[in-house]
Amino acid sequence: MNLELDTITKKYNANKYGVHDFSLEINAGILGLLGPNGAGKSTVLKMIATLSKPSSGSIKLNGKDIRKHPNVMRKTLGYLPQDFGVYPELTPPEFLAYIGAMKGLGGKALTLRVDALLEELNLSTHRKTPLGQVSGGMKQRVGIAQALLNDPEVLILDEPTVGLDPEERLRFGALLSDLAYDKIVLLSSHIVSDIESIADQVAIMNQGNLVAYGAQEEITTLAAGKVFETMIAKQAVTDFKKQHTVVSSYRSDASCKVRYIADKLIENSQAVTASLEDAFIYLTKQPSYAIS
Amino acid sequence: MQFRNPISTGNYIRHIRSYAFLITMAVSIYGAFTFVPTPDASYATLRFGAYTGVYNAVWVSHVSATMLSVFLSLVGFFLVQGSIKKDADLGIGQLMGATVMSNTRYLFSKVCSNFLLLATIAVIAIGMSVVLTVLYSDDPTITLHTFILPYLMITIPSLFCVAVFSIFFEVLFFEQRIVQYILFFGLFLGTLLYTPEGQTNLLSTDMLGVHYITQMLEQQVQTQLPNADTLMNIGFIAAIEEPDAMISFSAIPFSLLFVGSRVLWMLLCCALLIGGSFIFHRFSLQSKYDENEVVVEEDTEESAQFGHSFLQHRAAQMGGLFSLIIIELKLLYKQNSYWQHLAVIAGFIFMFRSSLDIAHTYVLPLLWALQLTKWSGLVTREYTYNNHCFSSTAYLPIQRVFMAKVLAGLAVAIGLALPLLLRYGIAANFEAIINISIGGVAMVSCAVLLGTLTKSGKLFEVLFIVILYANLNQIAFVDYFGAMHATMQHTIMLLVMSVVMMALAIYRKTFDYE
Repeated sequence: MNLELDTITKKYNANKYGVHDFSLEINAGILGLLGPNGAGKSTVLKMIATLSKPSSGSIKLNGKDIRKHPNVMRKTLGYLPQDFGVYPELTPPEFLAYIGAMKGLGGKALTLRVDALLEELNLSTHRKTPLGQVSGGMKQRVGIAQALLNDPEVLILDEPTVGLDPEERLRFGALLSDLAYDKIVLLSSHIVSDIESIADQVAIMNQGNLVAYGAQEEITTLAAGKVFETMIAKQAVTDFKKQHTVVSSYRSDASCKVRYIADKLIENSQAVTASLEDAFIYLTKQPSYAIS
Repeated sequence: MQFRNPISTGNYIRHIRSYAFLITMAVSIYGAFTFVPTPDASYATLRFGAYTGVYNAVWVSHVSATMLSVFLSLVGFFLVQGSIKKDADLGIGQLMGATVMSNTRYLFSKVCSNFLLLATIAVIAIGMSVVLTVLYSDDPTITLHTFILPYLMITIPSLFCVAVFSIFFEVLFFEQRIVQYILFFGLFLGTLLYTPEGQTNLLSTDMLGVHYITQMLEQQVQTQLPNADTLMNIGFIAAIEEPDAMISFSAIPFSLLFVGSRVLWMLLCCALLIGGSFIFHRFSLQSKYDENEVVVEEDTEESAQFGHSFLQHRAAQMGGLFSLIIIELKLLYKQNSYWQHLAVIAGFIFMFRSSLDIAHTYVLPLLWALQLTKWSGLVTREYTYNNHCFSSTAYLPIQRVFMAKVLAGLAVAIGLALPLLLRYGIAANFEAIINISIGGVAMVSCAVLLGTLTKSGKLFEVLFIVILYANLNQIAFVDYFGAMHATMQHTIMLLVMSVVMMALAIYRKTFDYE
């Protein structure tokens, strides 16, 4: 499997870009797409999912341009949008059968697959409950189930862990790791820990641009030597945050342990090993940063 | 209440910035143009026997105020209806529900914005009437208060009542859009057709206020032509072979009693709204799907395992249309409420038992009207429920997903007409069978085209109701299902129109998808 995004741009008007000159080559495995809100992650995923066309550039799946042949992608796609609705009248199996029919699936195997998905996603006890009545977490699991209906070769998941509890996030991550053996899994999130645990490759976006791409270790290296920790008085935290890029702060009785990013070490600080989250914050706070 | 209410303003702005509003504006201008036929026109809208008015400011203002009151009320209701539902769908309602704003204030804000919207259309139509008077009248003098008064007395109160009923019915039947439509259509027909003649008392049943003006005009005709046939006709009266004789009308004095009745109607509407505020759900919505009272508690749910067992069952890619049509039909069926099923059964019985003429002319269009929201939602439902991403990324979306929706809609149309088709089949009247079938195709094509263009079912619903009203009034021109013995030419024209509409819808949808 090979997905090639070649200098794709999504232009809304003369001065406004959703995505700008975005290039990436993706093979089987999990690619985590990280970026702050509004970075353009969903726009990229929508273009890959054929929901939207790039203003320029090309997207090729196994060498076929999906701008010209969108059904090549659609036939093999599993897509979970960030925000989606369901028909409130339908029960989970009816809704999955409906989406299955849209994907061109049928036969006894579809019924068996729907049943198995309902079982694995703990929806089988609510198989007679109309979707208008289910909780947000259950609706999200129905969304995940529909994306897995057709054994997709390309699985696009836009913020998939919303509504899942911590245990479910771990199990879902493990499932994706297994699925990604011979498939392309694109996973977008603005929560670094969702990506950190499972992604083989990471792409970081900011303001419509790709600012970094590579294995997690490579990305982390970009922030090496720029992450520090220090203890400061509680009262000084607000001022410190105004002057420095703070990753996290932990309060204790009288003082506060602050982890921050800076080009130079500040007095009473010590350098620490950079994590993916540090690199993410470092890269997205510097809009001029460009991929080499 | 503040004079400039931000909710009303916001709602009003949302409407006037919509694509549908532009279409409504264009239709309003065209409507205003047609309401008062020019002196050389081959149709009439208000006629007394073979007499009509001299084209001057008095005639134009009185006729256009009357026609606006009737037609803008009918169309306007369908245009503004659903504003509370919109708030619920967008989540704004839930935000409002958590504020200190009273139900009465919220509902009045909604009425104000709906009224403002209708009044905007009316003002544009009035402007058009002024232009027409200047262009076509031999005496283009316009006395402002005489010209404006009929609109203030007749049209504006009617539009206010419509704005209130659009909200009141929504408060009463929030989930049942079709019930709201039926209630308003019944109220509209009732007030138009069943106001006793000569009734000008304070408690007039004439919500639209048109009976008074037409009676006063009729009196002027009878005074000038005591022995002539002056039977009044109102509506679009087509194919007048010889031009009508002209009568000069003077401005109608609006009696205090009439003014009182208009004020009373508005007060009654305000009282209804205040009453409605006591039962308004305030967006604490108990879904109709909660009938079995199963309460899902997130805390008690077991976590999902996300195991691999589903990988053993690989569903075959079959690509067939049939299963998709069946599931579309199932979805349409599930959207029907219990009483709609009963109404369909009753309609079937009527179709079998009543005369062929009654079954074809009245029962069939009314039965189809019950499915109005299903057809209007054929291609717009996915936007309403925000799941168009699934159909847009489906395999062969036009050839399969879109076509399945169209064919399911058509199956419903033909299915509902089945008793009538059977009777015509037994009577070997194949022309009627063809006409009904093409009528179904035309309706579905129209719903699909307008839905595809506007991504909303509103425009089709408005158009359908206007056509239904015209059909029930036996206007042959809009007879799309051959009830008024359509000619072959009419049938072929309808078929061509259907094909063109469907082709345009497919073209547009292809553009959307690809």
